[in-house]
Amino acid sequence: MTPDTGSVRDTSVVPVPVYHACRILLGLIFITASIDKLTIPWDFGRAILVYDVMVGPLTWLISPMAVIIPVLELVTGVLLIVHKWVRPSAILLLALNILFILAIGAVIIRGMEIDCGCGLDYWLFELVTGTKAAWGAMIRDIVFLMMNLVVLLAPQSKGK
Amino acid sequence: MENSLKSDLQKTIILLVIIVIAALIINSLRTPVLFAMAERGMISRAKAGLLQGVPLIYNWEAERFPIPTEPDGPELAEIIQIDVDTAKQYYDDGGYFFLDAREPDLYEEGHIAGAVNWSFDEFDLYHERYRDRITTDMPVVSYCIGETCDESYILAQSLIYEYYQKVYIFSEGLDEWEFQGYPVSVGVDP
Repeated sequence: MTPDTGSVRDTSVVPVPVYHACRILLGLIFITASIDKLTIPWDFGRAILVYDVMVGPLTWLISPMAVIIPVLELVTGVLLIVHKWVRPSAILLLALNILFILAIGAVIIRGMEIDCGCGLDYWLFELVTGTKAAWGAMIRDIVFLMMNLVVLLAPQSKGK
Repeated sequence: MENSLKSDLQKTIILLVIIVIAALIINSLRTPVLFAMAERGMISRAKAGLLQGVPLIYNWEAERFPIPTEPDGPELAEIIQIDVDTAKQYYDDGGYFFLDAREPDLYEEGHIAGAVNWSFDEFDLYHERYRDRITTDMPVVSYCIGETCDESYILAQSLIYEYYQKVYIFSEGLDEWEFQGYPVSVGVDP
């Protein structure tokens, strides 16, 4: 029988509570993120288009992305929370996170204006924080990336 | 260690395949299911149009706001884009209903004089309110703030699904209207 994560001794780099907090929080974040995208896939397709990264022949990938990404976020989010297939879920979310970071990087380089998804319109975010909203989105996604790495590399997720 | 990594990668591929298949099934089923629900009166046709699936092969660059073909459905009218000069011409003509697709608080801050507020995200509520006053054979012009907003397109798409025959989008919107010095009002819906 595989020992439960709760019985893992604190010899690991990642403390057990931190691992569980990152896993559950990431799960909740991605489930929440998936709901709007799943409800109106056309809106999500347009949101991808606004980033202006999928141009030329890549435009043809927008539809498959609009269809697959919301389900990926929902399924992996649920798996993280129920503590099953944790590493495969974390690997897929890591790939997704890197994709988002690259897209936002392209937005920052070109000086475009986007909502950061921080609950504020981009202009309000910039007014309150004095920072471009795209930077808010970048910082948020880097935090998610770190949490993802914690889950992925923690010995507690081994075999999960 | 190597075995564990191999096992993780194998599981990742299996999970990805399952997710892709599930996503494709959901996407292919949602459009017929939603319009079947609309047929039974469980949701409005506008709602079914809004929530429907996306075609897998689709040129988004060419059409950001498409009217996808409804499965086995009736022929739907096309949305026609107009510029500020045509919008003013239609406005002066007097036979066109101007619809402000934004939320009520924005409408109250300023709108094209005489336009009614038909907020895109409460489509069914406004449809109920205006159904008798603005019938499907009347020409309607949908607008929001300007080129960057989506509300006018989403409203126009919903109107098309409710069988409106003459739907125009004034995509330059209120910004350009005000810039031209054309009539603007403030306050609640007349």
